This record gives sequence, C-alpha cells and structure tokens, in this order.
Amino acid sequence: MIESMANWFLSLTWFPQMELASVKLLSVLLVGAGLFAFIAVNAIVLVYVERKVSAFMQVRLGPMRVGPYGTLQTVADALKLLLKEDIIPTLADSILFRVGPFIILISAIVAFAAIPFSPTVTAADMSIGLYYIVSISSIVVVGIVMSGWASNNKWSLYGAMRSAAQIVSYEIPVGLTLLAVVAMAGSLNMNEIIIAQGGSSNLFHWIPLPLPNWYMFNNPFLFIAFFMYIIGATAEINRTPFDLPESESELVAGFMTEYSGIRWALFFLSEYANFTLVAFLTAVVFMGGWQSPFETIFAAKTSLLVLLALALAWTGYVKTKANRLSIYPLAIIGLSTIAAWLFPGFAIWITEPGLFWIAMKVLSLIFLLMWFRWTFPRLRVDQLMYVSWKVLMPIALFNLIGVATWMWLTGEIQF
Amino acid sequence: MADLIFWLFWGLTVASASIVAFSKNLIYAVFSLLGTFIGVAAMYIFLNADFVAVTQIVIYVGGILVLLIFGIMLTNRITQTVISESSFQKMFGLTVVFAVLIMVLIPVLGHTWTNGEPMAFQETIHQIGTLLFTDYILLFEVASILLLGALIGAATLARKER
Amino acid sequence: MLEHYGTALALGIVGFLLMYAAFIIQKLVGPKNSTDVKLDTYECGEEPEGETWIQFNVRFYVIALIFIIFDIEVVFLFPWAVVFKDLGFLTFIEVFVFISILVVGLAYVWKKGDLQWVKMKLKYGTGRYSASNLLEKENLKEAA
Repeated sequence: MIESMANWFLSLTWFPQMELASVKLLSVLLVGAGLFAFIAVNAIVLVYVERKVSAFMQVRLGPMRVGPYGTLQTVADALKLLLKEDIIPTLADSILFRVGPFIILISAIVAFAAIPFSPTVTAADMSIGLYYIVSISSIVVVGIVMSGWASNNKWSLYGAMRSAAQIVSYEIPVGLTLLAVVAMAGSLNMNEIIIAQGGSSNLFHWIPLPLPNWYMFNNPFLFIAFFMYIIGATAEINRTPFDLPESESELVAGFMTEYSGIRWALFFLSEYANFTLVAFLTAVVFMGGWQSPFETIFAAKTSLLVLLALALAWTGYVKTKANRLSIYPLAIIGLSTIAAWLFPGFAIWITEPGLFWIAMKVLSLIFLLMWFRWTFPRLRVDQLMYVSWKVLMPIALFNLIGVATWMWLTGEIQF
Repeated sequence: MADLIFWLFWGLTVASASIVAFSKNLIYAVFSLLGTFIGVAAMYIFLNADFVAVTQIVIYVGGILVLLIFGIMLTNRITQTVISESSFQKMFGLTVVFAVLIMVLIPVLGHTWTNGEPMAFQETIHQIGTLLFTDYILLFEVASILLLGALIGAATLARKER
Repeated sequence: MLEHYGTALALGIVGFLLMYAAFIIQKLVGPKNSTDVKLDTYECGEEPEGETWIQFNVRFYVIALIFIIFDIEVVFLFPWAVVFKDLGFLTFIEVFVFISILVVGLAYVWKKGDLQWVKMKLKYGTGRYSASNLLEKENLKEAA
C-alpha cells in the first residue's frame, strides 16, 4: 500500500518533486496517522454503541441528551476527561504510573498495521501478519502489570496479577486455534488467508448448502475452532464474562483503580482498540475478511430474495405475536433486493467492495461480544483457569490433529 | 531514515540494558527489560529476519518477561530488598574484563571488512519450516523432550516451595 | 519489508505523540488543586492499611512457567502450519509425536494439581458449607 500510495503522490501534477524515499516516508506517516484516527474515532463510536446496545437490552433509552439521540455523548465525555485534574497518588511509583498506560495503548494500536481492510487498503501486508498480531497483543500484559504495580493499591495489584494470569493462560488455546486455520491456508499473510476462503462451497463438503467458503464452515473442526476462538479472544481482551480483573463488585476497577482523567481515557481507548482488533481478526481468519459472501451476481440476487422472504416471515411473526410492526429489516432488505434486480451497478457493488463487507462482519461480531456482556454471568477465578487449561487446551490440541487429518482425508495434501 | 531508526533502537537497547544492570530497584530492572527485548527484535527486523523478530517478542516479552515479573512478585517486600552490589576483587575483575575486551577487539579490528550489497527480503518462514521438518527433524523432536523436562522440573521445583 | 514494520512503528509513534498532546492540553486547561486526601491511595474511603507490595502466591509463577513451555510449542508449530501443505502428511506425524510428548507434560501438571487454582479448604466453612455437612453429603452420595 505504501508503494502504490507513493506512486500516486508522484503522479499528481501539483505534488512537489521529491525523492521516492521521502515520498514513501510521507506515505508511511500518513498511513499511521490515518490508522490512529480510525482507531480513535472507532473507540468514540463504539462507546456510544455499547451504551445504546446495553440500554436497549435492559429496556432503557441510554444516552439521549447530548446531540440527537445522544450521539455526541462520548465526545462530551472525552472533553470532560480532558478537563479533569491529573491525579498521581503520592504513594504511587510515578515513573511506572506514567509509562504503563502508554505501553498498553501502543501495544493495542500497533497491531492494527497488519489488518487488511480491503485488498488494496492494507497498511502493512506482512508475510507473517497473523503471527505479528498475536505477538504484539502479548505485550499488553507487561503494561497491565506495570500500571497495576505502580498504583501501589491493593485492588490495582490484584487486578493486574489476575489479568496477567488470565491473558497468559488464554494465549495458548487461541494460538493453537489459529494454527488450525494457518495449516488450512498454508500462509500467515492476512490477505492470503482471506483469498483462500474465496468462492462458495458445500457445507463440510457434504451438505449441499450454498454457503460461502469461509473457514468457519469449511469443516466441523474449524466450526468448533471458531467458537473456541471467540471464547479465548473474549478472555484475552478482558471482557465479560471474563472481566474478573476489573470486576467492580470485588476489585473496584482492577488495575485502573487509581487512574483518572486523561490517563484513564488511554485505558479506555486501548480497550476498545483491542476489542475491534479481535473482531477484525475473527472476521479475517474465520469469516472471509473482505470477501463478499456472494460469489456471483446471480448468487447475490437469489440470496437477497431468500433473505427478503425470511424478513417477511419475521415481520409477520412479530406482528401476530407482539402486535408490533417492525419495518426496518424488511425495508432495508427489500430496497437492496429491488436495487440489485433493477440496477446492475448495484448488483456488482454488493459483490465487490471489501470495506463494506469487512465492516459488516466486524460490526456483527462486536454486537455479538456486547450481547455476551448482558447474557453471561462473570466466571470465578478458579473457573477461569479451569476453562482455559482443562477445557479449551485439550479441545484445541484435538482440533489441530482433527484439521490435519481432515485435510489428508479430503485429499488436500499428499502423504 | 532507516539508519536513524536503527541507531534509535540501538540506543533503546543499550540504555534499557544498562538500567537492568545498574538499577538498584528490582522492578525498574525487570520492566526496562521490555525495552531491551523490543530493541533486539528491531535489530532482527533490520537483518530481514522477520520470523525471528516476532518470535523474540512472543517468547521474551510475552513469556519470559511475564515469568520474571511473577517471580519478582513472589519476593517478599520488593521495595526493601537490598540487591547485593558490594563488589570485591575489583582489580582482578577489571583485568579479566580488559583481557576479554582486547581478545575480542583484535580480530574485529584486524579483519578487513567489506560492505556487500544489502540483500533483498525473502520470506523466511517457509525456509525455516522446510528446514525444520526435513533436515533438522531430530533436533525438533529432541526440543520437545527438552521442553517436557523443563516443564516437569520447573513444576516440581515450584511445588516444593509451597 | 522494512516499510511494513516502519508503518507499524509510525502508527505507534503517531499514537504516542497524539496522546501526549492530549496530556499537554490537560496540563494547560485542567485544574491543579490537589490535596492530601485527593492524592491518597483509594481503599473505598478507609485509611490504607498494610503493605500493598506483598508476597504473591506461587501459583502465578507456576502458571507462567507452564505457559512459557506451551508458548514455545506454539512458536515451533507456526512454521509447521505454513509448510504443512507443501511437505505433506508425513510432517504431521512428526508434529504428532511432538505434541504427544508435550501432552504428557500437560497431563503431569494436571494430575499433580498445578493447574488447579483454588484447593478446597473446608476448615473454616460454616452452615451448609461446613466440613461436617459436606462430608455428610459425600457419604450420602456414596451410599446411594
């Protein structure tokens, strides 16, 4: 992407004559700034979305006052955090107290460089992209322990130690699960993993369902692996039901207890950055990344008709059961179906743009993780270790063996 | 630009390594290891060894550093712990150090170094994988036995202290 | 390849600088009237009691030890996963041996109880969790 961007800059007529190396440097910095802007804006939006989703799940309204439907609430919150006093407790270790949040933040955002947003929009198309992301996200442990220890507060230190033990324990099952996919794709490059999931296939090679050839549907072992990855990833980003490190009822706020104002905002930013990163990784590894679920225009049209029928049935069901007319899904799917059948341009559009499809997948995964938060109660600390080492670990090892055997049986590899 | 970044990472590595060596605070020493490890990973990247660089971060930062931190948390009263820095036999030590330094410097300075063309980047992980599973397969299996021994030994030792 | 990791570095530096700018803004506009109470360690309104930096349970250390071993295993398996398609199923048997040897280790620490976070302590249990009560239940279960 850097190469093509630099060439594009040089092709502009108004662009000053520069050496290729300096144009490349400029592009690298621009890409970095763009990605950081994406992460920051994304965090602000996601905080709002999370509050709204939580509110709707609890039959509340959520933020409504600031801006239309409360859309500016998070912006107001961010401004308020900026205007707060900077408090460093006297007993805290002031150097590590300052450095800790930055290590967490940088480890959260740097991994985004290898995320493929679309075939052309990949900031750094590394040949070992997946491995790079796994490694970078393991740095966060150091930052968490650092800020927890530096706070000199019992809640903070206990929260940090729990968090570190938890992230460390869940890294192994997550790594083994990703290995199964890497064995299928034969590459660690994120774009190559996505390309390997192109086209459509029969479910598990047997059931003739026109499903996309995502690794999630490729074989039964990877189907299990998908759910295991979701569980492990939820634990790695410390979200409910695995949010013991910051369980407010026992540890106040875990390693963030002593942090306030803009320092605390760093934690929040990195938390949502990690959240999005996990959603992106799941979408890329198991759900075909930027690939459209419809292989051809015909498949898109017919699938939309099926979806339209489903939406009609659902609307009728809601009408008869709850006497409410829920028109939005029907309207959206109906309009897209009409557009797909009438305008060929639109039909091509829905099979093409990577950005749209990866955004759709990531948003649905984020919604799923938010849904988890209001569905599952928090685990106990011994249950947490039990799930990681005694449940996920054996299943992950078994899965890896299963995938390899499956590849041999289906003739994908020779003896 | 690449040279500048290289020297920045060199500075990071050396500076954090000297904090590790000279800091009297155990916790600072452990946390500044992070800088050393990341600096070394950057060195590997400059050597076009991306797989080794990332492995460095996975194992050293994600594993060994965390282990060291947990180990330090085991010590009672971390802040009061006095690191024994009382040195003795200073003259003898200095003599040995200088002798080793000269022994290293003689071949380094005596050799005429030639600057070759920088090699184009090649994907390393395929080569590593192929070699590991064809030529060096025995070492690979021996490594697993070594790991097993380490696991059992470490778990046994840690259990005794309980 | 350098430019790939350079992009990652640029992202980190840009993120650091922008967040540092936020800190400078905060320094300029934020209030500065700290009191001793404000700077006290938070312990739910109570006076902080005792030392924070205490000796931690050895279990954390054991978990980290076991983690390192399996982390290295995963690192070894990444090159295998990449070349698995090229080299064929025979490499899988080699990897199977590798995994099995480590599974022995996992079984060992599992059996010895190193993976168990909390060992049940009945000594101080009261009410229906008291030792005698639980023992009774066990006996009933065995009898049935």
